Amino acid sequence: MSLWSKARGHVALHLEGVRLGIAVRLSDRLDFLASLLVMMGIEFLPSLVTALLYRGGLTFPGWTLHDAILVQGVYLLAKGLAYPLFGGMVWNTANMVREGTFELLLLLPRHPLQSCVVRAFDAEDLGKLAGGLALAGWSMAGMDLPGILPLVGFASLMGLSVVVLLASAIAMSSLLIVWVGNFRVYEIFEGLATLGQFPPTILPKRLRSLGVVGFPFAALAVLPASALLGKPLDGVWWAVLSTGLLLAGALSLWNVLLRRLVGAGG
Amino acid sequence: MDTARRDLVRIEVIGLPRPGAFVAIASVTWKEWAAFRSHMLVSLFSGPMRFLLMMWIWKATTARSGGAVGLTTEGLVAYSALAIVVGFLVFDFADWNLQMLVRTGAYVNHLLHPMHHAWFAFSQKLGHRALALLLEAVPVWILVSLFLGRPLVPRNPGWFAVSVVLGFLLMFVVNYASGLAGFWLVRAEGLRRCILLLRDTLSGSVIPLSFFPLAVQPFLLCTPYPWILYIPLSLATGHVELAGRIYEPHAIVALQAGVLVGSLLVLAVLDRVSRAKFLAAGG
Repeated sequence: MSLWSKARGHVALHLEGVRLGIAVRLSDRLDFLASLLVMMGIEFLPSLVTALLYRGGLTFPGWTLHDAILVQGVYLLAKGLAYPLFGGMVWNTANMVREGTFELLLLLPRHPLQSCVVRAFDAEDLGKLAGGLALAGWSMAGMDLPGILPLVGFASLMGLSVVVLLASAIAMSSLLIVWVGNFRVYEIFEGLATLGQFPPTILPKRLRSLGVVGFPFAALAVLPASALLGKPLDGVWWAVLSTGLLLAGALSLWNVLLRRLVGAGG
Repeated sequence: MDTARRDLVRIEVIGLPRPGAFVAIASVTWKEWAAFRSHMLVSLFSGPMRFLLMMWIWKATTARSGGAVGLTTEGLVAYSALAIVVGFLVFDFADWNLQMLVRTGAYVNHLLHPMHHAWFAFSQKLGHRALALLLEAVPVWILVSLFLGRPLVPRNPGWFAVSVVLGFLLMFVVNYASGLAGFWLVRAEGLRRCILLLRDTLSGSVIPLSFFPLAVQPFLLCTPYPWILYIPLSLATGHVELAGRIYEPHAIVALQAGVLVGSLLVLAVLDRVSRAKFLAAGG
């Protein structure tokens, strides 16, 4: 089979996953609409907190309300791109391992990780994308249009952010292969990721560099937003390196833990 | 069809079950949850992380003013710390559970029990919250106290304790009532999560309600949510301010008890109306 037709097969598979994902949710439109709204609303909580703080006369040092909301808008945009595509794999893996249906993935003629991603498409998370566009739009409304260079920087750092989210989703799914039915694994990720939803000046000075090493939470939104705002991109190469390591680590974790899958469920 | 439906509804025993029944169901729930104790231990990471984030936010934003909305920086930090600990104590998922039972039809088993399902669900809550006290609330309280360098002790401890108990009961009543939506909708999950979002925002679990505009606050207080968490927390900070007015501890606890009684009455009516919709068909 030529490389071209192979690639086409992969794309067709993922598109079929998207089609099915949408079709399933359209079976109950009222529930879908409510889910879309809630996926957007949940993510507005940090922005609500931020707005209430600024209203009460409190500020994040060095960041205006518009700047801070932009960080949260960018965070939502990244999630809005990443979660519909593969955010659902964490939930799916947890469910399938618990029910004992995960083994069916091993019988499919694709890599189990790919089969997992294909089944993960979740249309309700598009609400996050809409929310991100709204927040980013609001905070950019009063600003001058950024030049080409900041835009290119922003786009590449958005890509980096999506990769961090992808690596996190793979790492969480891997854990769920052996940590059966622990739907709370999301909370471990959220605990770290919410640090990236606020301007870095809230962190004590000696902890600020933690955002670009280990789990690079600054890469989720602070760095792309800083590129747009023309703020300094401290430690951006460290963030790129950490993201690479995180992805490599997540993939090897998947391979290691998949071997420890115990097919008992039902 | 119609007679069958009425028969199902008639098989119910309203009235307080024996205390032994509460204890038996609670201890079984404790055992069931203890099997998944590693899941609860996730809180030992996520709880302190949430606390650190809020502490850093309060310290960074109030560095110059030294406080906000009548609270000092220390008061705000204590508010957020207790919001997490009390959050573990009153946490509840009766809504999710009831909707699952109705959707799958398993609720029919509870119609055959010699006790109303609400009592059963409440006993379950007693069981898993007792375990949460041991595995989540106390360890996180210790961790947070270590961060602060002093034990985190609420002001008005007596009234605070009473208020947490009332909040515990109110949380169950409110959640059970929203779970009744499962009788009306085929898929109530989206609506349930909308209510959850509203609850978490308006209960003051993220930020004290006194940060909301003064004009909005009276409307927030008309919902049951602030009475679950915000009231015990403001008692703990020693600054009970509702819609711009300062209240005495005993007055606010009496008001909270009134809200609980009112919610119970509403729940009783809603439960009666909703159960009649049950068809025992699921899957």
